[in-house]
Amino acid sequence: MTQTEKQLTEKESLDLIAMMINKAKDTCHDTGIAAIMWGAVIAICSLVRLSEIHVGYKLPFDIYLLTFAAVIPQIYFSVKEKKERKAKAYGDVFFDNMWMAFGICIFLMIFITGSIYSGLKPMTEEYQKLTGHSAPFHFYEFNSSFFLLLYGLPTFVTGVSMKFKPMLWGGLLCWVCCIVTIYTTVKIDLILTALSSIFAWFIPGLIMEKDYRKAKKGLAAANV
Amino acid sequence: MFKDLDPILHSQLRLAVMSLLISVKEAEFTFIREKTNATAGNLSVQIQKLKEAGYIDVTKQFRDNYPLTVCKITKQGIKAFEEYVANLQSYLGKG
Amino acid sequence: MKEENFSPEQSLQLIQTMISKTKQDMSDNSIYFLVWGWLTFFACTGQFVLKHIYNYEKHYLVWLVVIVGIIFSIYQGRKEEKRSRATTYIDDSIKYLWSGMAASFFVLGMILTRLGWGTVVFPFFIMLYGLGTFVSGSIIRFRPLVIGGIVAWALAIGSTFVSYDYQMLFGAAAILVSYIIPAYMLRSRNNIANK
Repeated sequence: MTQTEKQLTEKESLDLIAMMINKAKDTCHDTGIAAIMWGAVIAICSLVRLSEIHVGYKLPFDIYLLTFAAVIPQIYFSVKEKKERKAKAYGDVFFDNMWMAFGICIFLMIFITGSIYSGLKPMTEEYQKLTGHSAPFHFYEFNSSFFLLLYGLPTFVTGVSMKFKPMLWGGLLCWVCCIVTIYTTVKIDLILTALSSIFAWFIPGLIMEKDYRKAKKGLAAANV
Repeated sequence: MFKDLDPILHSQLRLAVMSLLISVKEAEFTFIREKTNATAGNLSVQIQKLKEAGYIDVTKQFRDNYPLTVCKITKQGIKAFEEYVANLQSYLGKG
Repeated sequence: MKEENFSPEQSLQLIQTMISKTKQDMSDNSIYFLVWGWLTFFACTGQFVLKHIYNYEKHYLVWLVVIVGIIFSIYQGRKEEKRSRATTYIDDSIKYLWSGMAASFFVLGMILTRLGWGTVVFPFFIMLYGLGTFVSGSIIRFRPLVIGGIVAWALAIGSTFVSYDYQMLFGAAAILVSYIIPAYMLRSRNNIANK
């Protein structure tokens, strides 16, 4: 851009404004790395649990502990991204807070489903003792449904607000899978959970990462 | 000819800065410099002019002991920008 | 960098959307919080009274009042759409968030229809309420809503320790703290701001 104060024509002014708005829009790219990680983590957890049930072995630790471990790199990504973010887009506060609230709700969900399960356990055990049959109703079969419900919410809202179709469809897929898992067995629930996390986070994350790299390259080229 | 156009906005670099700031919530000085390819000196002068006009807010912060200048458009700035664009439109309409 | 050549009309349109989105003043959304707040509050307490005091079997029918809320929201939304064509970032975010919330409540309803409404409804609902108000509060930067959301989460945990009947009262309390009270505070703040 020239620094001389030359007189602008109306058309030039207009073009300049539109160009700068587009430039600003171009920079607000998410790296997508967190989405890739969480998509992979949830898919791995579900599939390992599935193999445990299907093959009939048991890992010496609960595979879902992996989700707690993933919080550490998540914090690292967030801090790094905040430092590198030279401009704040309007949606940033919204997305940050929504995903944080989502994280909190996941913990609440673990607690609530856990306490409901332990509340119902004596009843189902008694049923089995009295009738000799296993209870017709197992709360844990609904576990995946509740989590899929929660996965869908921030994914869908992010997809709609960013006008990012892969996430929008990913979020909707979570909800569709949620409704399907109400009627299916635990094994199928786990497959659907893995599928949802791949389509809701892993794949959109890869697309974001590609766009991010492209934008970064474009920026570097423009500054030469 | 350009009587009605706000002279503060009707300058290439200042208009570029305002267009960036209307698109984001807030931006660091380095972000604006990268996007406009202006020199730091010139950009500082233009940002100062915009600030004096009350069109933008400039806050100085520190991050890891480095000074950080953060710019943000004000309500007055949005209004001025809106008027400027409306005037542009009327000129273009005539032409 | 994109070097596309825009027509003046395209440029103008882009610029105008940008300007209108950036404007900070947002429409007053407190009416939605108030209508939904009071409706669900009466539903919770009404259900408690019907079930716990009168032992009425079909106590859950009070929840049909949400239909009133849905009709109101659609009507109000249409009215606002006609009045102001421009929406701000804040308006958009709130709209998207609550569309997502509505869908979540619907899906939750489907789970609970299969699971049985009589057992575990309230902790989940209270938790979702909390999410909606917490995020709304942080978008519009209104602390009482944020705090209301956190209190709702605490009540969601608390409600798992009590029987179904008393969970209704936890639900009512959550709505009072996270919707109704913040909505009145928001309303008075906006009234002061508009004067």
